[in-house]
Amino acid sequence: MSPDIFIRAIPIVLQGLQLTLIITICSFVLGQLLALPLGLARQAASPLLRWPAAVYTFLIRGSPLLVQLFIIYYGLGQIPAVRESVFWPILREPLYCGIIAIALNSAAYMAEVVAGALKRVPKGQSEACISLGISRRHRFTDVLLPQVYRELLPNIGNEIILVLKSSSLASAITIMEITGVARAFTARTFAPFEVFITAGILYLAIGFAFTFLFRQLERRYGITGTRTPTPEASA
Amino acid sequence: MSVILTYLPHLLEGLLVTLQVAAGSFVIGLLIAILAVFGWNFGPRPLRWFISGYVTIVRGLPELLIIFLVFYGGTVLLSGIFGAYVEVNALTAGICALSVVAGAYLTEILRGALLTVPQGQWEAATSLGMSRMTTFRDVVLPQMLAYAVPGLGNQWLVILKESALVSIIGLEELMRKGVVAAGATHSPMTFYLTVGALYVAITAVSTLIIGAADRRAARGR
Amino acid sequence: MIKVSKLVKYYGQTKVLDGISLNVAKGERIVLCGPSGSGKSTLVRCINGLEQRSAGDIEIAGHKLKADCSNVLELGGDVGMVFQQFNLFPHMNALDNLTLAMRRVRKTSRAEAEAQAMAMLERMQLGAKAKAYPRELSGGQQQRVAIARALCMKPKVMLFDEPTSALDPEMVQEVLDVMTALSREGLTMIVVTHEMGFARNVADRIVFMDGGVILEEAAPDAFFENPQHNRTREFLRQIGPRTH
Repeated sequence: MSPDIFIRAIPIVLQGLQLTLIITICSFVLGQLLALPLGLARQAASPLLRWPAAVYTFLIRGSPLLVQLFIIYYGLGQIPAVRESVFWPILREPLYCGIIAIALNSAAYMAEVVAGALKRVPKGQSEACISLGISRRHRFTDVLLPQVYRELLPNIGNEIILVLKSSSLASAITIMEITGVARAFTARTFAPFEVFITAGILYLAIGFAFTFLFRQLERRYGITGTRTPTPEASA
Repeated sequence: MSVILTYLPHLLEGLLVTLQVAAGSFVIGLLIAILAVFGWNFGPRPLRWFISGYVTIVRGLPELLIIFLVFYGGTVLLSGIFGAYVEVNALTAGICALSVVAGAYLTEILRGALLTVPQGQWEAATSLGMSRMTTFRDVVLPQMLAYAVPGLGNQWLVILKESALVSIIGLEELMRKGVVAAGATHSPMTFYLTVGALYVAITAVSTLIIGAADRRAARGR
Repeated sequence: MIKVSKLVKYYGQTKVLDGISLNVAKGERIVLCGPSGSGKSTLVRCINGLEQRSAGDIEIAGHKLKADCSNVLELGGDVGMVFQQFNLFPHMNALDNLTLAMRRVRKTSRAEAEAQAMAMLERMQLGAKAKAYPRELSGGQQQRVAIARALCMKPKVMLFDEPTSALDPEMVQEVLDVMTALSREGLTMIVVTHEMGFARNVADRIVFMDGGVILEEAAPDAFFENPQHNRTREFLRQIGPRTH
């Protein structure tokens, strides 16, 4: 193990940084945006919404991300209807396919978390809204969802780290993000330890930055005392 | 479709390898975790830091990176030792890498489960004259494992899906078999959907078994 | 103001309300009491559309409430409700708790809503706590904010479901005082409570329920001096003399 290669590895590995960040941030944001309607659907009163959402999350959470990635990138390209559609310019690109696959995957897991948190909001909150005449729409936007997302901040912070790690799979469909670049450089230098350890340190640094950011957010918006007070005197 | 049926035996062979990788990694990871929790509880401070460091670092790294590190790194090591190009066996590399990863997550799961065991259990055992070691082994550990079932079960599902990554270094498990079949027949969608369905099937079956195990374990909680 | 006729409600196989009929005139103050499980909370919750009913009619503040409560939002805040568990919105301060419904339902501007809300909080001697969050307030303060929140919608009727049962004894009186003051303003009220002192002071009529039916209704003096039913006597004996 030579320090020389460590030093040479740094700029190389940094070349992959931009794509890693693009994939991570885009997939994360897209995944969170998709998770909300999906989570609401999982909790919906109507089976017409509940069942498709449940099937979707069941299938996605039951299979590896790699398979989903290949289905979107290699599989969709096989279908003539897709190749001729207006979406082809997007679905042809490995970068977009990677982002879509990771986002869809993240959304499925996040939706379950959102649905669970929605269920845990005390029924009294909805009842207070009803008694005040507040519409269903505003009940969600002003009362239920703010509470849910404040409670879920730690989960969301965790999710972005998972998405960061998932971004490494993009190297399997030719994208030269950090892992892809590291692997290619290793093939040229036969110095896997130096290169992969440097890449690893970079991932840890990015993860640390995200975690720090979310800790700050948690401090500001944090978990509000969502629990209603327990009866201090029995009725 | 008949092309699926033609390749089905190959896919099922791959499925077997997948199960081997997953089971091997899970068991070794669990052993690592039990040792780590043991060391955390009874060991000196530096050992705690080491275990903490191991868990934090491994959980912050992409699994694929760890697999590459073990595979390519192992190859370089072995080649250095033997003086000629010796490639690490993909199965070994896969199990090694995934065990290291599983060990980190399982350590956290077991530590959480350990904290759930009521303090009173330790106190009762001490008052009966049992040493800390004996208490841990005979009283606390079994209870801890009972609390840990849901977490352990979940980790099993994670490892099952993670095993697909080992296909990237050429292991002939389910995913790789699917890739090969897709390439040979030029029908990626067909085979990746089939492979996906097989994964869903084994995770579904696993989930049922874990549920049953959890209900059994709950009797003693 | 409130017309309940032949109200029946089942929870699964159990008949929780068995043919309740109750008329409440405008400005009347009703105290609803009875042993646990008598159905009094359920009755109140049916009246404001939080619980569906199996049979019977409910007309409240001029609205005919459907049995499946599908038109409950038409009540639009005309029927104020104060809950045992307060149900304040934890992620909003007191002021925002009060203004939310005004802004969303009545489309009041934020400035106007905040002015009205501040006035209401001042009435409750909670003006200083306008920017406080529920978790920073005592139980008694939270419940007073909850009452203020319901009042901001200028309801025609106020319903109280055991408003002091979840409070520490020292805080019960401050909430009862607020409710007593309200009762002097001509507001139609139904209060479910065990606070018999309050009942004596405030109620025009006391309604006693047991086993899903109304056993007795009388003005406070008649009710306490001359209970007609054995079970009423039993209940009054168990409650004991309250010295609040």
